[in-house]
Amino acid sequence: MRYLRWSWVPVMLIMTACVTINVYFPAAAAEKAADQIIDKVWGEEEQQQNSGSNTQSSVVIPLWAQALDILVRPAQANSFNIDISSPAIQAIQQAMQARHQQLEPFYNNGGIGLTSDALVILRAPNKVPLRSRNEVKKLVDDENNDRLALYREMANANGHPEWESQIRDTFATRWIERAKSGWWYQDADGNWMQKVD
Amino acid sequence: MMQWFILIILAFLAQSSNAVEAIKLNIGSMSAEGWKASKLDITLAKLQTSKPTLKANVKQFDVDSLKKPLYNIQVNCPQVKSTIKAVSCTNSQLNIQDKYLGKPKGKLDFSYYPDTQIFKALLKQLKIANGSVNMDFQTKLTDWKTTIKTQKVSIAKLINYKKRYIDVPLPYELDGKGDFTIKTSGKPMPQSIQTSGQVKQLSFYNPDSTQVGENISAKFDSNLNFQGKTTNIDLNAYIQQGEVFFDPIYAPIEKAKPITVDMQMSYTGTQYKLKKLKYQHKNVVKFDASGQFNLGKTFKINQFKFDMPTTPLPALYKTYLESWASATLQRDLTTTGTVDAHLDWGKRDILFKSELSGINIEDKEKLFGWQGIDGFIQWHNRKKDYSTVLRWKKGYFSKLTLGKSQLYMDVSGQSVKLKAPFRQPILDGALFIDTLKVRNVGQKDMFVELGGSLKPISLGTLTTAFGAPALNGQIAGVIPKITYNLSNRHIDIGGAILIKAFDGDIVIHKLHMEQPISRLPVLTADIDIKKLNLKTLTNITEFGEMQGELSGHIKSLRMLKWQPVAFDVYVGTPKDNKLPRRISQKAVQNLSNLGNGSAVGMLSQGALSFFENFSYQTIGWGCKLQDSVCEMRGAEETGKGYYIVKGGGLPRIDVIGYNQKVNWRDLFNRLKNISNIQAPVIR
Repeated sequence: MRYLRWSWVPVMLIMTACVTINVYFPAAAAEKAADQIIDKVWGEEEQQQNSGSNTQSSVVIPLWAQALDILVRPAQANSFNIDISSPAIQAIQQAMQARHQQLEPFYNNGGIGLTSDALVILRAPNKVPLRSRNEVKKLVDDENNDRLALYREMANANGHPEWESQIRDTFATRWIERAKSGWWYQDADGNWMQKVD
Repeated sequence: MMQWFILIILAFLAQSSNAVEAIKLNIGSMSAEGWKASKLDITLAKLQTSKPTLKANVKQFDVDSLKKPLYNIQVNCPQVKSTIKAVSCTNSQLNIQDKYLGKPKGKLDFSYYPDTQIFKALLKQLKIANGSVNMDFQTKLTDWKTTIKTQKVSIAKLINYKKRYIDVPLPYELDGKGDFTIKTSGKPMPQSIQTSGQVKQLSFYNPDSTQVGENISAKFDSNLNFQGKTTNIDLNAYIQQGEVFFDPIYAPIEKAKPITVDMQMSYTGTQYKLKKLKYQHKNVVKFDASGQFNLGKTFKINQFKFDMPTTPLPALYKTYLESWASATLQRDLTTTGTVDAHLDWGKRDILFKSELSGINIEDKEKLFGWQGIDGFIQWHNRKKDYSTVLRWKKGYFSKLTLGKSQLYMDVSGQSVKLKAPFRQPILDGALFIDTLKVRNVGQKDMFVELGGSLKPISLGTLTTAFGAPALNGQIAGVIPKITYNLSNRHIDIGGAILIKAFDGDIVIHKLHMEQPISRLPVLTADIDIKKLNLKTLTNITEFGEMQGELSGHIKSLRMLKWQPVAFDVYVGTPKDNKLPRRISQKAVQNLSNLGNGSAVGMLSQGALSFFENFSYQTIGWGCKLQDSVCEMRGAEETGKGYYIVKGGGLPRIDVIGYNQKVNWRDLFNRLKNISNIQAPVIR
């Protein structure tokens, strides 16, 4: 009985430790912010069209984690919100939005793919006409520069420069999750996969 | 191998008088130098008739020089003719039942002359690789010669066969269709191979697609000559159309501008010698090259010479450079003038020379242009005694006109250094550079450092150039050190830029730029404002006249895409103001608008409306911009507000601001509306 009486202590300690980590980086808010930016950059229609596919590839969360989530979620919602309204973020987003029209045909034909580290790459150069090869290479370079600037500015604008890599990780998942059917992406092992509905 | 068949046939035919109807022979294997045939079945039938037939089947045929054997070769001769001079067969059917070759079929004529030991074979219309092959083969003892003609064969399939049967790596994957004539002979080793023909829709690409050709049509003839361990190759090619990409150079080949290549080379082991290369792209460029290379484990240039004579730049730029330049600069350029180029690469020394003459470069949207560029560029990999001199007659950048100038530099290794001070006239002033150093040229961490000064440019000239009313004053500055780091694309400007305007000074220091030519340029700076004459300043605007002096600062200015996103600005009357302090009624109204002040209504309605000017003790206004919100302050605090204008004398008028925080965009628009200043816009 004595052991039973004190057995809740380690359980509470573990749960408290978990809560601290989750509150530190507001993952849910970051996902929401990432989705908002992706909607703007890629166009909302595309994303709405694909919103149904999210459930297919969603992660199955263990029961204990769901329980923790219930405890943690209110803390996140009350404490943190990822701000994406800064002029820097808006400017980057607009530049990416304008560039997307030029990149989209090459997402569609597989010339460009989404990498697992939240960037893009010219994965199948033969899908890009030779005369456009330099132009598309430049677009890919510019896109990657803007994406890196976006992750950095989001961390800075929210007063947490140290969040940059976590924001980038969040985007890595969200870009792929919200990609159109037929687009190519890299899985965690670096293999190229094609998005299916 | 066919000679052996014939000998066997002769032996059989000699037996035919013995009333034998058919003879069947099974041979386990048969071989000679260079080849081996396994499981041969030979059947001679109808021996009693005038039309004896022959069927031969080879299960596996190995050739020493091929990696894999050929399988199931069948020859079906409808009539074997036997005379004293020769044994022959016409129109026999050849089937190669090898699935890897697509089971090709064709007609075969062959004959053997026992007296002279000459064997002849003629293979007709062998359907292979989506095309057909004809082959004429003749051998006498150890001598042999053959002519192979192909029609519309798939080059990709030929390459696949090559991969299966011959172990010679090719740097490219190939596709397209080709008609070839290959003539070769040997004793018994091959002595020469002559190939001529044409290819259509040829494409090639290397594994990482950095070297690619597409839709190429070309005619060629080549000769491979084997002398001991040395192979000599002569090649003439005429490329009629297509497009090629050798990262980052893209070049279209049009029918009206074909390419002719004349090349002689040889290789011995890993030593490769380019004896002669003449390249001529009609109406675009021609050059000669030669060299010696080591193709061992590591590629090494032992010697290389390249000579491009004087060439008109427009066609050269349009064909070979435009794709890269327009993607990099994001600008479309037009060019005129001529250029030549020479490269001499030795074991230790590499020297590049190029002479430019009468070159004009202009952005099609007229953002910038340089005219009358002459001079020469010289680069040496290690010696510093080769100078580069570039002169130009004039140029422009946006609305800034640039005068005649010249650049005298030392370009060696990965560094560039100024050999004489550089002076670039800009409007009525000049940019003066006395030090310029560039390190790690062409590397990702290229670093540029320069120092100099900006000789006074009159603000009147500058502002009128941009279509704004002429301002009095000058812009000048001392630039002890500007650095540019390519790895992070940061520009830092040490020292200060002094703008003498409105009878006072504006000093810009701690100027720093990030990625200035990107889509998201960032600029940060601190600015000091010293004793501007308010009368001169307000007279060029519709703000309303003010008299007095104005000093202040803009601290921690941060601009993104040339729009301010953060700063701390304060301007006000300096303590040692020596000028009369007067403010017009209109200016009071506008200042009042700025701070949501309390003076407005009174001015237009009451007795004060009779006064055009008022005296003041002090004026002051500040704004700290952060997160799109401007936190305002004035010269002094008063109760719930702050003085923007603190009046003096009679009638006294104060302008008091109450808005502590305003949206920056709203405030900016309000300022723009009330000042209506035709400010210079520098893009």
